[in-house]
Amino acid sequence: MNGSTPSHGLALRRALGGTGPRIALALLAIFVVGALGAPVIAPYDCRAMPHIETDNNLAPSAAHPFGTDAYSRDVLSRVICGARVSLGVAAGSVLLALTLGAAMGALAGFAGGWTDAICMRLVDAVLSVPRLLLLMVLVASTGPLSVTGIVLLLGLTGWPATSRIVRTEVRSLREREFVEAARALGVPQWRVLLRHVMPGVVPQLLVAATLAFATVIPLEAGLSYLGFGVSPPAASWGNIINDGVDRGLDAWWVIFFPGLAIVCTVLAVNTIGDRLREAVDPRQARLP
Amino acid sequence: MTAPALLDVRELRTTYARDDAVVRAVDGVSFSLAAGETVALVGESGCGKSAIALSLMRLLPANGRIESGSQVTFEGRDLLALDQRAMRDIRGRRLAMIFQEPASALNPVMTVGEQVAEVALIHGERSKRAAWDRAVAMLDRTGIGDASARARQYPHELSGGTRQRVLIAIALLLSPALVIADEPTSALDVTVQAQILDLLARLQRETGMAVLFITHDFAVVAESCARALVMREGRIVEDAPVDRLFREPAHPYTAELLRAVPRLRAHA
Repeated sequence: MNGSTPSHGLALRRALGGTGPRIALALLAIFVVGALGAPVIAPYDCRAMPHIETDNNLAPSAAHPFGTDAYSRDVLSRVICGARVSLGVAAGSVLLALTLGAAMGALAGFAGGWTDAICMRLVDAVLSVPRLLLLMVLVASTGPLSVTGIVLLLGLTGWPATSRIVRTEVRSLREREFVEAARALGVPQWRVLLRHVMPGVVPQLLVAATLAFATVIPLEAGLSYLGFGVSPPAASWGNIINDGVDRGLDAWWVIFFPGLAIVCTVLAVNTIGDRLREAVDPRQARLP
Repeated sequence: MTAPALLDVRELRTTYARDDAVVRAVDGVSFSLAAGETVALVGESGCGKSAIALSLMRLLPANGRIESGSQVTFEGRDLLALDQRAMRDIRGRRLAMIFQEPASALNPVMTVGEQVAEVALIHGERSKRAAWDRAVAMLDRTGIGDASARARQYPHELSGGTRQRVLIAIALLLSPALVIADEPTSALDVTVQAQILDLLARLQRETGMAVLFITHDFAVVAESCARALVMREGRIVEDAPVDRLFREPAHPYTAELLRAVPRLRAHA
């Protein structure tokens, strides 16, 4: 049989078996549940500053497992609320980037010729702009962004990687005999693309999604840490770290726990992404 | 000649652009086919057989070109003058093609029933239910047992012979006037080959379609065709009834091809 397995479900289950991917999936599940149920799960109000004089920068204890920050807020609660914002922003912007990237890649790869050339120059142009710098300039000139604004910004600048992956895949699929066979039956071009070519891109799109997600999590954290992203008092993993950075290691817990959340998320997503890529493209498997 | 030909090809020239060179794949080919006729197009690989098929379907790759002066008349219409839309309407409905590799000519992520039904849907059938029923009935006609269950399966779940039957069902669903069969049995083992050839002959009797068999296999020619066109280096070197072709080949190349067919010693 050739590489493209029709039963995606089975291949997916095989790819995600084993200890590493299972731990990764479990971690992500915990984060997602935390993010979705944040208002119910968080032990304290994320924004309340109950005893700012007495309870600030408390070390981890039974009452506050992750300690409190300089404003006496419970860090565990803020990390849980931050998951809602950080993962939400990441999911939204990845969805947007993936949609744009898939559309652009499909157009370029399927049409070929001039359309392809123009699309790919556009990709080069977008890729050559440093994302972080562009975002900072934008925020500096327009003021703090809403969460929607951040999603749009990250999404609108994040599609080129996906579009390249999709383009390559579409170019190889459109030469396949069943695509020619579809044309020989009189299937219109747009239907050839949507019904015969794009379903074959889905596995690669999953891989692209993990890549995009693992890129955008630290990017959003970096922006928020620098004060260009999600603005306080709303919590995001990046701006929680920012809140703790003044006290440095004296209040290490304010920095450590949101940082741990970022690292775990990226590691988990990358682990899953690697396994998916191996399943989709066996030639890349086990490269050092 | 009394009735007008179903297909009339005059001075067909097809070229492929390769880097700096231009390759003449089809170099001034003329022939015609009557309705219901079965004609073989034989020759070694690379002689331009498939380029003729792709030219007739107007499905040449981007670097392929049909030169001006070529003429293809099908059911009284000038195929080379049609726009894409009109050409799409003819493909699959009046002029269909059976591909060589059943494993790669079927979409791996669609059930075979969906792929047969798609032909009806793009050529005017509105109801998905009706298209599906027609697909199952057609699969049944090609001799696939338990067709309604097979229709829900994916190509990789079926044997090579069954897949080729599916391709035939796709090509014949709308009763085209001409079917181009590009090496339809080359990918199959010998017993299955015979079954597929029998199936094509039966369906041809039932529908009255014409078949252009593209093949390099003289066994297929002898078994299925009344007339053969022998091709060499982009030209047709002989156009003769099959029995005469085997008895007294007129062109030295035909004789050479026939001698190249391996025989058991007892028959020699």
